[in-house]
Amino acid sequence: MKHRKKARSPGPPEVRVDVGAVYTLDVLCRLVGISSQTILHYQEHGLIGPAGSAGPAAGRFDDETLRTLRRIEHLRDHYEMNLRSLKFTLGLLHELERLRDEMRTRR
Amino acid sequence: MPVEFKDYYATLGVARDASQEDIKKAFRKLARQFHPDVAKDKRGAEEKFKAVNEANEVLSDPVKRKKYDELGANWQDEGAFQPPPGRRGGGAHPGDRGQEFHFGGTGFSDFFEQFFSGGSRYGFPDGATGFGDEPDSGGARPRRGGDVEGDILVTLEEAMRGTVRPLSLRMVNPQTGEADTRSFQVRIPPGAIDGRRIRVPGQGEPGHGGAAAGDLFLRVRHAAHPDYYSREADIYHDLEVAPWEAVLGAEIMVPTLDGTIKLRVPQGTEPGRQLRVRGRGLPKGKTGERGDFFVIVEVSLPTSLNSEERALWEKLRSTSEFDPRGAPPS
Repeated sequence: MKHRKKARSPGPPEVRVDVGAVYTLDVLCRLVGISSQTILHYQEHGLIGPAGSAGPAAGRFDDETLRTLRRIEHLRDHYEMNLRSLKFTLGLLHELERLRDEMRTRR
Repeated sequence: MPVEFKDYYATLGVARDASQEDIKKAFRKLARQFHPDVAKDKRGAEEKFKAVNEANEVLSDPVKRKKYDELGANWQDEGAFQPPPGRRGGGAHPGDRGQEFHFGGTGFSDFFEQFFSGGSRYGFPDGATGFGDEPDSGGARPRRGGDVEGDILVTLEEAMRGTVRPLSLRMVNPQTGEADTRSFQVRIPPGAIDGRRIRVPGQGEPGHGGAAAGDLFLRVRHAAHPDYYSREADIYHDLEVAPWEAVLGAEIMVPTLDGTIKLRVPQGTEPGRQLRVRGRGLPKGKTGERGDFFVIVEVSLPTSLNSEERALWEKLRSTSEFDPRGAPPS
């Protein structure tokens, strides 16, 4: 089925994506390349939000969390940030994005 | 990379000193005219609709508009536009920046991508991708490629039904000047809500030393629609009703993104009241759950009356006990 579809539409490869994807802690660890302890440590300090609480997202993490973790690892790698500067930087970036979104919805 | 300068004022047909209100009006008019659902010439209309949306995206945002006006002042009329030095793509201090990213197929023009959106590593602002110390020349340590972020313009219909979008990502390594373009199609399922991030695995920066490539994070931006606007998964629609429909109640056929519904406007509906139609908004994801459809009631008043209508309003005036300003103090 998949092959037939591919043969019919030549051209650039098709990537299937998910909107509202959620991941278990294990999968999240693998995707970011850090241990679950580290993730829980970040969570304790409020760098990332809690896992979902209801429905299919219960106990799972979303793409927003994955993105934040990747950014944290980048900031640690490239700027040698410690927990305090991470907290501060992420707070600023979050506020910046929130304000931009707010300006956008005001229009 | 030289890009073609876009005259957003001409696209919307407004003057350079047009007010925000003028821009909004011009956009609504054109968006209605060229909206793919409404226009007769679908193919031509879609291009125009995108162009109109892009112009609106920039001109309706005071910050982007100011930046655009400054760019315009530096524009030499030579067909191709060279960005002023110091900007993204200017190449004045190649050591200061990491990779450059340019998108194609996101629904925005190359011009827009270069100055108002563009891709960036981890979504950080320009120039914040490192100190030019990327150990990428024959680095022994395998290192995962960075994540790339960008916006994708999605119409409400696409958010409702899902879509397949051809995308291209051009990466320029400023140290070597090497450019690499990758093309792929992204199948986005229904439920692309504004602001939501979509992860496209493995389509970010290539990895080093045999490590995996980074991911591409696309942030959904809803194209403005002439009739509806979205908030999360909910859709809003302004509905004009006649005074007697608001006072006496009425059943009105209302178009939604997926078919027309019969809406009961209760008697005594005040202007601004929101009527909720459950489950007729955007899909929230795989669960099949959907947002709501909100109708905001606006009362339109007749502006020209024939003699019979006038007589009826006059009769209403003399008969009615309604006093909108309350009883005067005695």
